[in-house]
Amino acid sequence: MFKNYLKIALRHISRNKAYVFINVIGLGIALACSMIAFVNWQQGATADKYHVKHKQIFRILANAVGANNLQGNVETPLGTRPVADIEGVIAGVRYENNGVIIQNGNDVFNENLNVADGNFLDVFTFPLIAGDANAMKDPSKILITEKTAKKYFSDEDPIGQILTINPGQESQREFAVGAVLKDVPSNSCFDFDFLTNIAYVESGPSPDTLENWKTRIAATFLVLKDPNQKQEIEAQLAQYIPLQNAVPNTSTRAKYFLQPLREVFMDVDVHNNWIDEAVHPAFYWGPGLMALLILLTACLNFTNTTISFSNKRLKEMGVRKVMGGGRLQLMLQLLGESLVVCILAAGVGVILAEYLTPLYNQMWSDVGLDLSLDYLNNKGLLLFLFLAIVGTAFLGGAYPAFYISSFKPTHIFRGNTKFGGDNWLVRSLLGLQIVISLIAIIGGVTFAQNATFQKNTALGYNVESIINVNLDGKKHFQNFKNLISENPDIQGITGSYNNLGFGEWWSNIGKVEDNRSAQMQYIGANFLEVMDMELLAGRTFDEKLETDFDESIIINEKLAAMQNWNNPVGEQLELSGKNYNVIGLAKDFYANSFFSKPTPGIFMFRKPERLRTMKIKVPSSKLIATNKFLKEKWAAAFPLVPFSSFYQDETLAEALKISENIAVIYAFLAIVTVLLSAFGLFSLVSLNVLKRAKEIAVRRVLGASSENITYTINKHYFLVFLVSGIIGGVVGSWNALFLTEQIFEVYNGINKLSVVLCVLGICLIGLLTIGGKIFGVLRTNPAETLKSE
Amino acid sequence: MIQLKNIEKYFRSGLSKTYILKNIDLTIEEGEFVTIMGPSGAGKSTLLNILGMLEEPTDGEYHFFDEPVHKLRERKRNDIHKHYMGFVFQAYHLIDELTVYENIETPLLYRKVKSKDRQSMVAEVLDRFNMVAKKDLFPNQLSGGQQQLVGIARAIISKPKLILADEPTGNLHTKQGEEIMELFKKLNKEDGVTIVQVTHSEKNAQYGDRVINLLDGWVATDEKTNQ
Repeated sequence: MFKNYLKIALRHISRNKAYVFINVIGLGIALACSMIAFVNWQQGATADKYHVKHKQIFRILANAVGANNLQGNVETPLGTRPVADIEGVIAGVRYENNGVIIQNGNDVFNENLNVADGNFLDVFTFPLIAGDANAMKDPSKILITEKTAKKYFSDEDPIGQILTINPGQESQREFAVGAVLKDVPSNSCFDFDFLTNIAYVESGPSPDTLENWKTRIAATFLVLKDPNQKQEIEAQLAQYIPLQNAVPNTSTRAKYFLQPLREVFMDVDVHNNWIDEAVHPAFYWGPGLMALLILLTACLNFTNTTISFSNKRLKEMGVRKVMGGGRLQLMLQLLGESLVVCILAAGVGVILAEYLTPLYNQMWSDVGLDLSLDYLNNKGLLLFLFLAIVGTAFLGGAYPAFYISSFKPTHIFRGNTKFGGDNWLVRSLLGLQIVISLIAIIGGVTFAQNATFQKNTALGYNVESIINVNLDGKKHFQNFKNLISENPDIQGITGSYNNLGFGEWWSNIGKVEDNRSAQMQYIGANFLEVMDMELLAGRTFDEKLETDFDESIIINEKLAAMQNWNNPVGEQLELSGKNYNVIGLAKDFYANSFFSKPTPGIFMFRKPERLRTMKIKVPSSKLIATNKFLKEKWAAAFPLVPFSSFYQDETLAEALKISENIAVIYAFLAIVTVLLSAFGLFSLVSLNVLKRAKEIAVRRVLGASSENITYTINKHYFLVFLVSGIIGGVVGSWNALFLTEQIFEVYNGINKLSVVLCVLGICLIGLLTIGGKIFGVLRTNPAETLKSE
Repeated sequence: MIQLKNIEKYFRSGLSKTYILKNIDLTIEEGEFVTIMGPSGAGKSTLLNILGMLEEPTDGEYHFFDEPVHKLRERKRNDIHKHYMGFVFQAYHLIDELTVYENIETPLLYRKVKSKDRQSMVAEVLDRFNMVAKKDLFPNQLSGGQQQLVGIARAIISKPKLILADEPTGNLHTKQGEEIMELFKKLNKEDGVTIVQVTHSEKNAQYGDRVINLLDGWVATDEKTNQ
């Protein structure tokens, strides 16, 4: 029986190659996308769950009095005190990033040296590849990841090798490699290559930082004996607030919170989240949504074409019923055939996914996306694939199977059964396909326009012609400035401590109870001039005035508005318990690209030796040449410090990349859905024409014009296009707007004209599809049709 | 074998009923070869379909081997249909995607006959109809007469007690038609299969031993042939 079904399924397939080809390709693409989206979703869903104790681990967050934003960096004693003071807290781990230079032979590299408490590897699960995990407890040892071991020591045994940190500087230290750890998964809230004991922090110029309420560290984790005690322990953490608030010149804490480890990875709302950049959750569910849309379109098309083509099957079904086949048997047969198509599609999908996965990874290489389709070890993926195949077969095949097997054989044989092509269900499925196509097209167009819009939107400072050079060590700024000043291309030089456009730095302002905060920009001389930032009132900082370094600030319009100052120059602002004079008012600017609107901002003046980045202005045509010049000068002057620079426009890169990537994904989705819809429409119209061949011929003999015929045959489809065009336009606009709002705070919005053009465009495609078929019919001689009847 | 009592089939259109069959009382004994004749629209095919349980009468009683078919559940009716009846159609109604062999085999699949038995049963029928050489051909590679032979082979493969044939020679030319009718006669005489056929042809009717004439849904005459 089964063999018989399989045979007939295969023969059916070989006789309807176009139908099978389109569906196998359509479903194949859909399944490939779904698999990638699934693995992508899995990454988010399993983030940080590989830690054996992940359910017990919590990150401490804090907020300032009244503030509604949470901060990720908290005071260092919180890593040790709660373990001693609060019952139920088993362990505490602190974690911090340090930018360092690492020397290996003659090569120097800029690297991140991460430090953590000695129990880091007891709390978090990072499998050991070589060496001894106790190295974490030994301040003279360094732990490296597998890929770092390869980079530095290639095939040599890394254990025991010596790495020099910050060569030639006061902070120079030597570490012996104590252990090699497996690479950190990309879906981890950590991202480190080098790891050493936290004692490193105190070995430098600032001892006594680890038990000091004044100092804050990137992240502090507590391990609870029982995760259900979260609330109680959170409440008990309040006992430290007076200790911290007693310290002068720090912002005042209102409350400490515990955040489960699994939430850390995707929490983009936490300020000062310095462990590693959090990934927006939309990144994990967004692609799934799109894959679902493709899958839905492919299924709809599958259902539609199956019904359309099923006229050919009616006789067979009738015969089988007369031969004694029960309805259930027939339905199983038809479903089995759907399954065969879906299995073929899955084959195509698996092959396609192999090609698409690296492309997708490449698209999101900035996020470090590293998806792989590991069928052997990823049971979830296999289960998903299985369910997707069966589900698609069922979704696409159930209705046709139910429908085709429902007819009475006597009706079929008599030819009474009007079937396929034209019924309300088929038409609404087609309509749904058109709606989905429109969602895709409008999404693509919106994000493409958004990318252009963002490219052309002024951020409020110079992004096109600034080279940033990372300064390491204290005296570099002045030295390097002197070295490069001779270059005639250089139009201006300034510097900053933190870097405008790259990361945020929030501080509380005013009295604690005011609950106000602003983003800080610590800048050097001439910053506003070099960065082309507009000063609306007052004056800029003056190097010659010593008081400008200690007592003066420049604020932006947003801050002035927040303080209700019409004329802010001359006002005073309290920052961490100290009063500053407002000497200037600057125009608003986007401190965090397009991900947030302009925020209240404060500029504070820093002496050259405290600047970490040099900003060099050159004509944008000279960026690359100047960068090369800078590199040569740097290498000659500071051989032990690797040159590292970046262009200011990279601050836009992430936003643009996201917009462009989403536009690409939507374009892909649009192409697939439009092609599938067009094919579905074509098969419907063909069938309709076939079924009504005689009617068309008779009408033509009676003198109907081409327009009359075209209208008569297609009036239903015109309605379908009208209705689904409107729905698609509305839903598509809504969807595109929703997604941009989710990701950006500064965006283009929906261009109504584009939406109308998209709708007209898809109607045109539909018209051409119908027209192509009708044209063929109108060219045949009606007499031929009637003769063959 | 078959007993119809007051079988009626009609459609309601508004207040009036349009009768297709009216007041049919009919008894068919096992082993008979019955021909149903009548002008177009007389209800011949509907009667045949009712006999074959493909259609249900609107009213009346139908006893098949003393089973009251009109009272049976669909499942049981399907069972009877499956085990006792074979169908032959004017348009052959072979499954185009299946070979001759597979077409003949299909009814056995629905009767859950074991693979070995199926092979020998199909082989036997093919042999009997001299179609062994054509077993791997598809229906569209055969002539009409050959297709109808396959249709009959398929109808008798599961050894039915009753064969229902709706104008079995309607699409065939005279010579082929005669061969098919001879075959029916042989099946009836040698294998004792009861046959009910619908035909327009007086000549074909003479192969059987009883002719029922329908007129506007009524039984007009019911007489033995000259045989």
